[in-house]
Amino acid sequence: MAISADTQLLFHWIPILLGLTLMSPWGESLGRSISAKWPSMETKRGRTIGGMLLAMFGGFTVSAHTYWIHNKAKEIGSGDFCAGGGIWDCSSVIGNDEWNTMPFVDIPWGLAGMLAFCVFLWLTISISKGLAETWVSAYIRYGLALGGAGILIVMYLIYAEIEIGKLCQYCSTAHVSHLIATYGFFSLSKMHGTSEWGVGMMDDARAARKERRKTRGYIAPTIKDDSEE
Amino acid sequence: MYRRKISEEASARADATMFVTVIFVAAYSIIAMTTNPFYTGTSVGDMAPDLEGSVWDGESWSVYKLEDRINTDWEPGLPGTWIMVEFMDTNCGHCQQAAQDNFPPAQDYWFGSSSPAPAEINVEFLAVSIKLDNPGWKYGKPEIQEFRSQYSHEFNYMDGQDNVFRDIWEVQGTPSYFLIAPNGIVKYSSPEGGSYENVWAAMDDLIPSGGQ
Repeated sequence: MAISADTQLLFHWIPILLGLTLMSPWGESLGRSISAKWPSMETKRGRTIGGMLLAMFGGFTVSAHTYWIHNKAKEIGSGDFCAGGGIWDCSSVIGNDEWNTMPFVDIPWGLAGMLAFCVFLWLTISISKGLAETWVSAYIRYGLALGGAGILIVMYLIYAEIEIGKLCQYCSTAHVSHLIATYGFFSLSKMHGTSEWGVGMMDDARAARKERRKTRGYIAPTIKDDSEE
Repeated sequence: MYRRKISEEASARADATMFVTVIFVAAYSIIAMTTNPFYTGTSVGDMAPDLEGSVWDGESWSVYKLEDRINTDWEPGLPGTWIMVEFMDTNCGHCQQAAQDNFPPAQDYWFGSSSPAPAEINVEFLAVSIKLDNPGWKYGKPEIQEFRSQYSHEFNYMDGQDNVFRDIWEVQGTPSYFLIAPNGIVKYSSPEGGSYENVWAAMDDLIPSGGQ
């Protein structure tokens, strides 16, 4: 039995909504309930980063799905992959050759989204693993700049949808994910340098060291003491 | 005792790089393995761009749409129409030479009762008259009609003298030839060259013959 395009979209919304919840005030109780497994969820910083990662992952998967639809439409010459007929009709948007690629570089928007969310994820994972590093504030700024540039692109794409006269539910999902990610970087920039950023950091660092010790197979070289001979 | 130095910075960024690389490569591989897109263009393997306009069939002007003759689900063995598109200028010497020397035997060969194509395969020629606009050259529908009858051609001539399709098809000179398979895919493009000597050789090789 084939799953409808709108139902498939729900799979992308699950991590996005979970991420949004984690970042919201309601995320505190959710964070507490999973803090046994992930101790950083006790802190606002940890929940924000966790929520951002989930939202970005949802954004990445929906972008990949959009790219797949784009390619499939090119392969078979039509695009009945999304619900059509109403205002929500991603076939008409993703299948529209005038608007479905990035100006100048000519790459499909889905692929552009995949690359953008990869950069977002890379910045956020790096921040989450190097909370006390000197480059963290720079990475937050890069995330904010990328988020701001992305909002301009989102506005351009909304304009494209208005021109086409249809809305693309897959694209809109990626846009929402992008907005959540940008808000996440904004929250991190507010937190960074305050006491809120430092809460639980020692626990996190200890947990990371412990994790590294547990997983690595490194055996430290030793030198025989001359006196032992 | 030696002590190994651990760079926390490198570790954080290496972990992030590894995760991002894995998910990107995995997603891209799945997309690459499950789709086979054709991009619109005029290179061999591309989906032919649109071609729509009024054509002169020897008696009247009517609307022609390349899209109407394309069946994107076509596969070898199914009925379909192969279309040879020529971009030409009614004033260009090479086009006149080709119109006189190449087209009459070609239309006898492909349109006649001895056509090598099997019954379910249709072969069409379409000449698109564009405008190179050299000084003193004359253009217009009467010129197209006159050109067609002068060489006793039996195929459609499209008025493309607004040069819209010249630009879309990225035609640099005349005559330029393209062979379009029934599914709309460009199989031969003279600007690109390729392994065939000319479009006629490409047609001989690519269009299935009745014996096959």
